[in-house]
Amino acid sequence: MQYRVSFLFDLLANLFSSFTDLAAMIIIFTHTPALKGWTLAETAFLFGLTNTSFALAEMIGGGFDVFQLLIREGKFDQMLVRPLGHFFQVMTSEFVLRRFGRLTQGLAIIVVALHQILASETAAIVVLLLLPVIAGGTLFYMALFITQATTAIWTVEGLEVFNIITYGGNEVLSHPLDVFHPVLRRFFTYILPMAFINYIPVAAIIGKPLTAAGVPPWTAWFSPLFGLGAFLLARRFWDFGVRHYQSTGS
Amino acid sequence: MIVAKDLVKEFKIYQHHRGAFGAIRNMFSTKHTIVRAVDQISFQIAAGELVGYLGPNGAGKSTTIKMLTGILVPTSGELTIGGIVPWRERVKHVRRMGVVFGQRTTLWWDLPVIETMELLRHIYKIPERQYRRNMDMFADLLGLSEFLNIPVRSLSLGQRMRADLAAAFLHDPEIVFLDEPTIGLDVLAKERIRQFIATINSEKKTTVILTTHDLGDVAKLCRRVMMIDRGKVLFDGALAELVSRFGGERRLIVDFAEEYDDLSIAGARIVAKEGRKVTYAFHSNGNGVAPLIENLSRNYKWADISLQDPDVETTIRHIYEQWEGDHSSEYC
Repeated sequence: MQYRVSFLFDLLANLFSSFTDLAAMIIIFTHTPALKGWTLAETAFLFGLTNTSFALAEMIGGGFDVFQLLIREGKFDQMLVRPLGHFFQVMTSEFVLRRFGRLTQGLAIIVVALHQILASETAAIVVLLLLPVIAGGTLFYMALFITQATTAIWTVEGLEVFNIITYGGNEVLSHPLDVFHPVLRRFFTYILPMAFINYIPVAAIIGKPLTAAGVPPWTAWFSPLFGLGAFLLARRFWDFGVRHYQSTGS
Repeated sequence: MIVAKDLVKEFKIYQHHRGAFGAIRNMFSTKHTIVRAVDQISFQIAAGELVGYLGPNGAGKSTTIKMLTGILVPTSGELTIGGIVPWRERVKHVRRMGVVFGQRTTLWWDLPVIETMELLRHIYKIPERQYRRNMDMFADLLGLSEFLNIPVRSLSLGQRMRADLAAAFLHDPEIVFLDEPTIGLDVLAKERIRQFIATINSEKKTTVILTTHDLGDVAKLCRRVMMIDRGKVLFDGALAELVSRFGGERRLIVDFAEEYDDLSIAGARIVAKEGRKVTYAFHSNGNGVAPLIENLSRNYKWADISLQDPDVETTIRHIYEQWEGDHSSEYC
């Protein structure tokens, strides 16, 4: 904690920027009580969950976010000459505490939204069910960060394009699948099964029909496995990337 | 200790597209050129040796070192260090290896030196007694105690290099790679570091591979020299042999007492002429300088004569220049 003031502003900026997303959502719902059957509280619940996962992934895997710099400054070379795993070293090289802003906001939204949606006695059980969902989401976002970082081994320019997937993914997961075009619904269920990360378990928990995804509710139980699968794939891609690492001149 | 056979490292350099969609086109582009940084080099280094690894910029030195340290995976060829293939068992390999990159520190920027050492003690699982013994030794040889509590980022270059060296040798590695460990240092600091390397090498029998542009380092430290250029080993042998093979010419500088039109003498060639001062280069094939001086005295009047033996520095500069010449003629 070397630069307190800077940290404070970072935290505030972080809090504010994700708050604007929430504000946009609230504005939409001032015109309509429900969007394709989803109320403001339910949509906000989805939003809070995915943002919590995103913030956790950013905090744990912050090192992957700055991996490009680690390569450029030769710090990755230094990690490779230490008798510790490179994956672990990169992951822990940066702990982004300012993401705490997004995390607290996400958690607060979950609590408030749940309070609106469910009676308090069922809410306690739901919270337990949410833990694997948040964990699965965190692993999924970690997988995206790892994949993006690994790409930096070959190209520096492609990374901006990758932000479409990372932040776009966050956007997709923040909305109920019902609001998308049927083609996109199929895409996010069967091809890039992001719906399993967030939408399907949430819909199952709060008792929404899963018609948009077209899968039975019991599939929700496997939701954390999708996050884990994505993470393990990304992990293998990482190892493959490190074997092809070219380092920098001298 | 080190066995390298036909080691090759190629780099793919992708072609860049510019303009509005350049970034996207770059992602899918497969157009590239292949640069061979290290081209089938083979060598063996025995335990306890202190080898100088020389070559001009871009010769492939750093690439070789990065393969030896397990950072880069070779394109082809074989490499084992103490029976281990570095990139296959990276962690096992680096545990008994130390490395200093003179250009950038391997230490943690924000930590004081003493905490860095403590951290390394944990990472390398160094027993307390060994750690104490080494720290005392380094305090003595490198003067570490002057700056133990200063964060690495605030150290002067000389201090940082000393800290880096101490860190590299802390866990008593079997082999240490030093990539330009004296770069940018003043004469005294260089001397201290050379002394340290020489002492550790002789006392602990650590194998040391040293790359440098400072020929003073080579002259002071290395018995064996490997020279590389454009990815190929051009010389591998004793330093003395390098000097006699490439820089075998001695120089005779004569100050003439009078003006002469023709100053050529048999067995020597004129390499420089400045007024009455003339520099001859010659090979002393067993006879020494006596016949030349005899010849000179017979034909000319001279005021002063001095003799220069080839040193490492001029020899190596001479070799580099020769290579430069060869390359440019190839391109023509």
